[in-house]
Order: sequence, then structure tokens, then C-alpha cells
Amino acid sequence: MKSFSNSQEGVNVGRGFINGSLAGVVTGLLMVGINHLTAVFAFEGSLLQSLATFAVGGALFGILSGLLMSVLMGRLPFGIFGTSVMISVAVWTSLRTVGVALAGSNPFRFHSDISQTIQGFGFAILLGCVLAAIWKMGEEKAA
Amino acid sequence: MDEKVVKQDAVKHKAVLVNSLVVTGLIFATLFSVVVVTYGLDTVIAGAHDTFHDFRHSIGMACH
Repeated sequence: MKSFSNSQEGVNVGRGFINGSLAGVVTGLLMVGINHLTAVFAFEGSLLQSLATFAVGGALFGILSGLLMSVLMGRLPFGIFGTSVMISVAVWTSLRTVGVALAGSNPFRFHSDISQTIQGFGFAILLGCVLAAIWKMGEEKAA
Repeated sequence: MDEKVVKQDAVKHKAVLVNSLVVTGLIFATLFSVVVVTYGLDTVIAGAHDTFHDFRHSIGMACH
């Protein structure tokens, strides 16, 4: 990713990808514990399966947020934390809104749960915070 | 000298274009994966629904 280094016009894709995937994995694994505490949803798979799938799922969300962060960082009038949380919440909210629309059109296949929705919103905020923390650590290390 | 500057500008513009295309492609590819996982689209990738079922419920996405 050397050709995509930071510049006035360029975007640091590698940084967004790596920071996002790391943040996503951490957040995904934290969600396993958080869900056990809240008992919002009873896991149907084993703990090992949950750890693996949450890590992968969290990484995907994190990579998307990280890539968007690498594009939008510095272009929005917010700091690192503000930008990161806004991006992850916006991504989650967009997907959730489409889920509501799908539930309206096909209530058998898609149905909503308020407690899970609230936990999901918390997931989005947590992902934003973890991504911002990792991003800030990276900046401090580079400086 | 002017020709050299013009060539350097052209190379720079090409690099920026490639950079933008790669970033856009990565974002769309990731968005596609996120959508498949979020909605459990078995029709797109077999097994996506069952594999990420617990994850999907835990992050508040609608599911049956």
C-alpha cells in the first residue's frame, strides 16, 4: 500500500483497512461478552463459533468504517472520535433502516426486536470509539 | 522542461485516479460483504444466514 500514502489529495487506504479490521475484531469479540451480560439474544452456536463469527463480522463492519474514515478524516468538521462514531453509527443506521423496510415488506423473513436494536446501536458506538482510539494511537506513534 | 512538467503532471493525475478507483472498489466490495452478512443473504453466498445468525441478532439486525 506504499503508493497510497498520506497526501493532501490521496487517501491512506492501508491505514483505514488495518485500523478498521483491528477495531472490528476487538469490537466483535467484546460483543460476545456484552451479549452474555445483557442476555438480549441466546446464542445458538458454540462459544468458539461465536468468537470466530463475531470476529469476522465485526472485522467487516470495522473495515467499512475504517475505509470511510480514511476518506472522510479531516474533511468533516469533527475530531477523530466524532468522525469515527458518526461514520460507524451512520453505517449501522443505514443498514438497520433497510432492515425495517424489509421487515415491513416481508415480516415472516425479517422481524425487528427493540432490545436487539438498542444493543446494535451500542455496538455501532463502541466500534466508533474503538476505531477512534486505534486511529489516535497510530497517529501518536507516527508523530 | 515544459514537456517534463506536463508528463509529471499526467503521471500524478493517473496515480490519483488509480488511487480513487481502488478506494471506491474496496469500499463497494466491503459494503457488499457487510450487506450479505447483515441480512443473511443465502441466495448470494450459501451458508451466510446460519453462519452469522447470532452475530446478526446481537447487532440488532432484523431476522426471523
